[in-house]
Amino acid sequence: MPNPEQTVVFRRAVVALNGGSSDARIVRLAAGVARQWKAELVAVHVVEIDWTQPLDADIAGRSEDVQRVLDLAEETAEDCQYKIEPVLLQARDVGAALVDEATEQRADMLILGLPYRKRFGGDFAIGSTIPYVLKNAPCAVWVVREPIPEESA
Amino acid sequence: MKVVIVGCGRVGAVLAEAFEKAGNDVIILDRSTGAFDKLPSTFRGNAVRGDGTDEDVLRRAGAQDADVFLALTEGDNRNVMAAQLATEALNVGRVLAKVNDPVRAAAYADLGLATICRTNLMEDTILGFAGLSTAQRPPILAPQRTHPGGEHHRAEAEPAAAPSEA
Amino acid sequence: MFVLVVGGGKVGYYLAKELVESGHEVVLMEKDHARADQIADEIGSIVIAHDGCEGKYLAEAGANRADIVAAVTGDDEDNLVICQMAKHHFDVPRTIARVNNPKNEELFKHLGVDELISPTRMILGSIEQDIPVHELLHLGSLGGSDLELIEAPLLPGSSRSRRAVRSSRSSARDVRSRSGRTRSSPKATRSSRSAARSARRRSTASSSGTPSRSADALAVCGRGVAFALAERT
Repeated sequence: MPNPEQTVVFRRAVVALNGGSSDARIVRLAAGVARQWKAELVAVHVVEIDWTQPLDADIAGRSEDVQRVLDLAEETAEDCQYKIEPVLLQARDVGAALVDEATEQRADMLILGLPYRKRFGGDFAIGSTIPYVLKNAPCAVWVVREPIPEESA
Repeated sequence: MKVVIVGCGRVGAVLAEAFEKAGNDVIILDRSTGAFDKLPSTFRGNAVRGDGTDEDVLRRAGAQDADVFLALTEGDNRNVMAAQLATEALNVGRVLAKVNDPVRAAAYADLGLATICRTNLMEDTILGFAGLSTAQRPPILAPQRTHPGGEHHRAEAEPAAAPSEA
Repeated sequence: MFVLVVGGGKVGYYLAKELVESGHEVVLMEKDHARADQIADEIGSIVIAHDGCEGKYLAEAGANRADIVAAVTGDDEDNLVICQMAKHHFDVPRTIARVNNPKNEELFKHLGVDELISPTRMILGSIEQDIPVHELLHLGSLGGSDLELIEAPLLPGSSRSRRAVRSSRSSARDVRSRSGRTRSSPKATRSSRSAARSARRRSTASSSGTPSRSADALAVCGRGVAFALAERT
């Protein structure tokens, strides 16, 4: 058991879900680390609403796909015998919403996954969310990149 | 016929020459005098440097009461505005605006302005060339109704506006 | 209220910022990516880095549900097209255009733009003593008194009568109370050109005019214009 005084990584972490293959991985990782200091975990799924609809349009709450993303996070946490609080958000921009949520939740860690993309020859599309979060988050940011699948490596 | 062409690009220049050869009075405008190099040295029409969306410039060039007015610059919006000035303020008979954005081309035809859309033209022509079926769009989208204000001339005769709230 | 602002120059930027601060839903369209990013950094994720003149991008920006579209780019032709597309293609109830060339105002209004903002006109107005140009023109003050000489065009149909002048006078009051701020510009700065024009118009009026007198004003009517001495507000 490491010395908590020196190795506490976080007390409250926001785990950003993206509906992809990296979600289960980062929830397991977060649960494993959080357990040591009984840190709190909040799983946040942000649904981007385009401008043709008002921000409070009834979209995410009704979408089964969206519910499944949160269900999977909760189930994964349960498998690890840890509790994760699910949060569903609608926003114009995922990055900005994650930063706002981390601030509001007073999180000291924001965890994101970077999935391997098989299309277009296979690569890691870093997109705009991760750079935005890295630049603007109030807390530490942990980006977990997936390994490259063996058949492509 | 009096023909006014705004924009002395490739198309504007060849049309100016063609209209002139056919015995018409041609006035061609462009914001850059360099553009007039495309006109043949034999061109006897009137080449005027100036902004075709400026009513004063158009009047000074003699565009009012023209029979044909063609807005053919590289800017869709400049063409739309020049064409609307011609319709509303200059009492021009037939007005055509080149609008390369298909959405705007259709929207302004709906609004009462004849438009020609290079994107649509090329799409249909190339699909046809490749043997595919096309949308069968007419090359010039005809005005679908009278342009707002087209029925009455926007003239000095309008009463001097009372101090307006706007 | 959902406001769609097109053009991220100084005007668009401050407009969007103020609207956001007063609690409105705002989206700003700016085609220059660097400028769009800069604004997003400062105001938040309300910026769409696309050309607001393109029908496709106007649709993406939610023009279909906008209460107001404000076109404030530096180009009149773009502002006109944005407002017309908003009005006729997306059924936006209220459109506002920035007009740089004052000569375009009439055309824009005529083509259905609901409101026009003309920086050129406003500055002209200030130079012309805060009175809208061509409507009522301040010609000069009578030193030491509360009276000033104003010029007002007579509307077609109004006879050059005492009554016409009174109505001009009362509209003069309206206008001044609306723009009722301190006139700080010193009289000496009025351009000689406008002074010359005033003098010319004045002589036209006095040659064919009919003076009339009422309790607090002296008025002269000429061809198409009236001159009156009015109380300064």
